[in-house]
Amino acid sequence: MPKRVLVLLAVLMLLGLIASAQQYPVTVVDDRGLEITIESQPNRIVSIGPLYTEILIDLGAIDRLIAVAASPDNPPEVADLLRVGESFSPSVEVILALEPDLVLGAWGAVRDQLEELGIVVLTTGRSGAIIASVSDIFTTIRTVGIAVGNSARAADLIGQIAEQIIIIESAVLGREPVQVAFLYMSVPDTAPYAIGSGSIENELILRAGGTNVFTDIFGFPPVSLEEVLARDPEVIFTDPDHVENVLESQLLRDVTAVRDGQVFGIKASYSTSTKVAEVLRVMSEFLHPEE
Amino acid sequence: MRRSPRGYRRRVFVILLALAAVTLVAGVIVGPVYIPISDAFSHLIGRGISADGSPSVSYLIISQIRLPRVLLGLLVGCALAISGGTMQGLFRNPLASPYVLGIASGASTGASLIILLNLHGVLFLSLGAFIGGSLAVGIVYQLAQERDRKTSVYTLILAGVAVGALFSAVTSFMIFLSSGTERMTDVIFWTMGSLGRANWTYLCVLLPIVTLGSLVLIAFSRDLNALAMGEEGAFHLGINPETSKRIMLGVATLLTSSAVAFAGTIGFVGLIIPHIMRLIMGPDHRFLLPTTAIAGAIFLVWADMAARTVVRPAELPVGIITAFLGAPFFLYLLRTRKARM
Repeated sequence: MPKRVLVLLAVLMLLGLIASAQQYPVTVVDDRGLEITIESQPNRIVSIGPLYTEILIDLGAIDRLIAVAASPDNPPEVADLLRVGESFSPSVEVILALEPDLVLGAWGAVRDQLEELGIVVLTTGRSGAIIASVSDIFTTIRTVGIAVGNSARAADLIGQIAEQIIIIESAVLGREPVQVAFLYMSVPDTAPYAIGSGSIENELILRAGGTNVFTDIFGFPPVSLEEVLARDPEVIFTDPDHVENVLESQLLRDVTAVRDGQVFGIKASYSTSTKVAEVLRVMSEFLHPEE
Repeated sequence: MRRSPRGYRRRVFVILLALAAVTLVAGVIVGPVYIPISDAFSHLIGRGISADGSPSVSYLIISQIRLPRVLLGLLVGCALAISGGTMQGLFRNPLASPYVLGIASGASTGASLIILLNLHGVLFLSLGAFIGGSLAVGIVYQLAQERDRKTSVYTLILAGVAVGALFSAVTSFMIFLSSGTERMTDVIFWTMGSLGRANWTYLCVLLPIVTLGSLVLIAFSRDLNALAMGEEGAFHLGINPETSKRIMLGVATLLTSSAVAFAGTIGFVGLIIPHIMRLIMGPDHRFLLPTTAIAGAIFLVWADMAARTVVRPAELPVGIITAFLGAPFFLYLLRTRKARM
């Protein structure tokens, strides 16, 4: 079996071991590498990031969620819940007034202020609260699971997602990798933003049986249209609103993906969510439609 | 004007002081969370610890969030306004602001670097901004030194523009490097300025700097008045222009760098407030500088109140509000004063 699948199975076994004990106080590690201690089961949780909100819902802890930050990626289940500001600019005052016993997903100056006021803040991911890989999502699910006292369900959830990913990957195993570009082009025929390495989209492309033509670039920089022409992807993924822009682009007419109409919309916010396996499935079906 | 200038000035000063007191109270009462006014008052005088010894939530909000924020606004507004007034007097140029020597650009670069390197904490951020701003000014100052160790005011402005542009380019590059991540938002929001990082420890650092710095600048008001006649003229009036310039530039730079270190680059306060006060108080720096300082403090706190409430519970960067408020009010004053002349 390929190495990636073996690694995922090993992770599953390890999680099974961890999931056994669950009592408070618990200590978890956050994105800064610092230890966060949670004294007792949190019952008044505020979630700043949509990913954390989704995880709480999937872990069956939504009744303990009292407020969220506004975000277009919020799941519909929290439509009537109190808002504490925007996810990139939450209000410390409003959060404080709610007297939460756990705040998930806060970072930067807001996190510093909340911690100074004695509020427990938990944020995971890479340093800087960044989610850049599937394993970052798993880490977040596991950490939140331990923190809210649902580590067994968290392990199950990770297992489900991992299993789905394994199935999808196995289906495209041995196929010739398809040349893919993940672009954003909000104005037609202008230099697009390309997603490069170090991102979760890059990893998903690999797992779905593709190769990212922009894998030599790091991050999310603007690239010239010439580069897109030169690298000639066979499939282009983009934001659902930008699909028309790419297809009707005069300057990209000769790109294989555009000529063959292989331009598909993928909602990026679903990549950093518990629905990541769904995104992967959709991607793999676009890349290898015969299965 | 038929009224006595002295009485008029005294009245303006008293009104400003009263307004400052009102502003302090208003800033503490206003906020996205509703706290009854009577509670707010009792918290202000220190009452709010409940029976079991733990502070009530509204007390925490007032004492740990709103009050430090208002005080930071007063100090930063004061520092920026009085530095701006000083710069305008030193350079004899109405377009001068406290950022004219590239402080804002340098501070932005320093802060962006800290954010990019993922060094957490407001302390690192403030240090980075302060060092960046001071570095920029230091380079500008060196470039403007002439052979006989005199400082050319003309070269200072030009060097400030060039060095400022250079540091801005570096900041833009760093924004590019962090594109697509939350760090980019962090950097951009920092450059728009915010009083959200207020904290009693920082206030303890900032208070002596702003108080002493402002007093020094006010003490040099006569020198500023004399410099209005050019450096030769000032010399004949008994002022040593070189020493005065250096001290005033140094203190104004220190005030601005400190303000920017904690609050980011808030624009318009240092440019517009001195002009507004000049239309009200006249060009004599002995009265202009102190009133500008108080007016700047008042203005920034009200701007911050607006920033905290117009899109509540989210917060706008205060620099957006200062621009929106400052420009139209200044234009209005310009028209009414001109009509009377």
